[in-house]
Amino acid sequence: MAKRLLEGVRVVDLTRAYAGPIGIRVLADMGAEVIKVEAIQRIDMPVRMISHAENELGDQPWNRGGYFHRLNVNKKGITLDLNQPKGVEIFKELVKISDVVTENYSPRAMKNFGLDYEELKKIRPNIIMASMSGYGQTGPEWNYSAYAGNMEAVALPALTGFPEGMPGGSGTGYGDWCLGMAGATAVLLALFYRQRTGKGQYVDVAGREAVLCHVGEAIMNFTMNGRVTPRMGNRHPSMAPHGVYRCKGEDSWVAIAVGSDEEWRSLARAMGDPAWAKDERFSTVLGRLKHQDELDRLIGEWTKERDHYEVMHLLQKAGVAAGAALNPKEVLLDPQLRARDFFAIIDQPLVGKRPQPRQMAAKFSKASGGPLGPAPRLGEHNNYVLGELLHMSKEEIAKLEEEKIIGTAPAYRARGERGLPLKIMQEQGVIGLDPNYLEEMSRAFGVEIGPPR
Amino acid sequence: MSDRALDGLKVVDVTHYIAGPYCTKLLANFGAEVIKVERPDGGDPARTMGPFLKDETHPEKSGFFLYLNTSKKSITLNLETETGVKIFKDLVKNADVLVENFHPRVMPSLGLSYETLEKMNPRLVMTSISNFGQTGPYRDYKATTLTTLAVGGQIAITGEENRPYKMGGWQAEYMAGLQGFQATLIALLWRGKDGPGQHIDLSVMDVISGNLEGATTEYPYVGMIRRRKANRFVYGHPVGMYPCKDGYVAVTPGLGGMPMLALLLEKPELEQDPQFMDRYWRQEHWQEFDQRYMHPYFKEHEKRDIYQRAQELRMPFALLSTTDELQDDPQLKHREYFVDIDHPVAGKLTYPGAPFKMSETPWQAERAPLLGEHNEEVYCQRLGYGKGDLAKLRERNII
Repeated sequence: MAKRLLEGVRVVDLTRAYAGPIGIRVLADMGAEVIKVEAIQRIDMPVRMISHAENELGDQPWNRGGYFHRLNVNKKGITLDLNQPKGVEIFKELVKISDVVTENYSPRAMKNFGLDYEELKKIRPNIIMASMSGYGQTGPEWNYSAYAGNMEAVALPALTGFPEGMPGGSGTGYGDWCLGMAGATAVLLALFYRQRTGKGQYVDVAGREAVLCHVGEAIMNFTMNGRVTPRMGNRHPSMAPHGVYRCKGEDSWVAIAVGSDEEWRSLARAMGDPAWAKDERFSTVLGRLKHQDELDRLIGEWTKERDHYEVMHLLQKAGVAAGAALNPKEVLLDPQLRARDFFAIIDQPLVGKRPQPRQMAAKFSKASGGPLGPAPRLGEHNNYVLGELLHMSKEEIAKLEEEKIIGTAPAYRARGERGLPLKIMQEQGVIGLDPNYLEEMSRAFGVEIGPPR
Repeated sequence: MSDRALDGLKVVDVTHYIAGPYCTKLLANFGAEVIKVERPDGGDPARTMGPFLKDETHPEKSGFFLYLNTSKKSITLNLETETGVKIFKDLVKNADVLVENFHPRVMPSLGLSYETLEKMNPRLVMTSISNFGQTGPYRDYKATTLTTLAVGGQIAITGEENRPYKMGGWQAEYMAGLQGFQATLIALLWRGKDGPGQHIDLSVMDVISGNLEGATTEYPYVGMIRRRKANRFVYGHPVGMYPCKDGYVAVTPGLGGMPMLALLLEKPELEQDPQFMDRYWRQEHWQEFDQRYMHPYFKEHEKRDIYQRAQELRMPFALLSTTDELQDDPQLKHREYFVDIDHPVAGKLTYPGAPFKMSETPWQAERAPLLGEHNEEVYCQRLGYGKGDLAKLRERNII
């Protein structure tokens, strides 16, 4: 049996930014050979220039962006200018020896390159091609673009946030995750079908549709009853108390969800049996739902004296569902994720070892995707792909570099590139800053994190 | 008739609620035969979850259940009896996939651990979805969608500056179901024609922690601990939700889009305005920026007007849709996203459709099953029980 789960699968990946790459990471993590194709005239922006290590641009800033690294762990990278016929020719040679092509250009771009599914099928009849877009390849809004998590707007904000406030965003580019993951899922399905029948196919993934599948019950509420599901903040239609409560510290919270009367009594006991908890109004779920505002206020008085982890462990011991709302640093340090080996230590050129999340949240008992390697530097694997896979000579490769069809440095640099305005962001309260992050990470992961010192 | 991607694949499904059933719904809607094993008394607890058709609490009228269980077969089986477990093993012996989302102690306590099942069916892929995985210090912790989103890291970075909130609905569960489906396909691909199955251990918390955008990278690279910015974006401004005359739009000028935004605001001269064009100024003075440039214009115009004009200017704005508007959305209509499915009790209803379009093996949904609807088909035709046997099993509360 193959050692890696998706061993032998080769993906030529034209996707860029967030959605496509995060989905394709699943394939890369699971051991497929993913060859990411950029161009020196068009590198994967802006992600290559976000979150530079130590907020320093350095000599090759396009290779030091953490955001790019996070999204492109374990992929190989080449450059090819598809606006030049020779670039397209080489791309086709690569498709001939590959299983899957993925892209998230705006629709018709691939056709303009001469690389749409009909063309690729001529080169490799069983090719699987997946196109990922916000709206889909056809329709009145076919050429509408979707970016930076806007796709979730089709469904999520109407359900997210407090009833009296603004509709909310996920804060995490949820629409992008849905689109990329739907794309990866489609590729896996197509691979499975091909394994059985030998046939490839074309997949058209629209981010909005991927998101809509995750709000099925809200859609049913409308189609069944003509009702628009309102925003509920952190509340639940049939559970109380159910909310997020402030804890001790600057910006620390805990989530508590009580389902049954028995859980309510357990919560009361865990809080030390305060007199107010004996109030008859709170003894049934209907009563607790009705008097939720007061209940939340009283519970908040108790939680705000305590550390959020302390509250979680205490309540869990008592049989109550509670979860500390971990901030990103705490997520990196969390013992459950550590036990699951959730963060892989990636030895990333130019920036040293850094933890990155795994993108497949499952453990397989008989095989794995193999150890995770770094994200690719720009054009890092040009020699491997062109020389070893496509058998081009050193001279041919040198000529391609002269003609700027391939390369390892961007053709254009923007003026006034700088790091993030961290101090200002901290002053505005949108971020916290920890100057000891490298020591903290090194201690937590037991290995020197960051540039070799 | 199109081919089905998972034609011939046999799935035994003992999941309940949302995460597990969403995984098996995807299996079923792409052509696998999914036999959903439900408790005889009431079945999947999702049958008691609203919204209900016309607010009638009825196990065949739950919108949740109807949506999550399209194309599956339903049998009833009491796994808390020895005979029930024996029958279950008979089913699993010839299955390709078993999916469950119980607490990790449940299947082993029933004598149905992967180690046991593997012996009678080495080709079996068993997908176990649980809140924290089969191992770890939080393994036995109770959880709901709210608490897993919290501990997974989503809530601390989402919401208003002084009040975090969860994503609406049950995103943790849908995400986990989707990754469970992916993991199952990966194990099936690896198994191929003659290889062994294996046990898949999926943690909902891990899925959430893998969906925190750049937040888990900002700290190890830069020491940044991201906080909530309501619906604005950490790396630039303006990116976020803006109120219009009749609703909201999600704004992103996109790369190099500020001149386009100036055109949208009908003030082309803003392209020469140094503050308007300076991304660092905008990020620092975002409130002033919004008051000066955005709110006055947006509040005077309708959301669809702004959205369409922005897209014509190649700015990736999005419309904040409400569920009542979706049915009339011209793009979704063209894509035939919504599908109508008839059901003997719930009648004909409109459902969300395919997560993506495949050219050879399209998604397809048949109706959700009635409780125990396929008892005769599975027990009699497949496992060889007689009708009399079935009656006896019913008496003994086994089915």
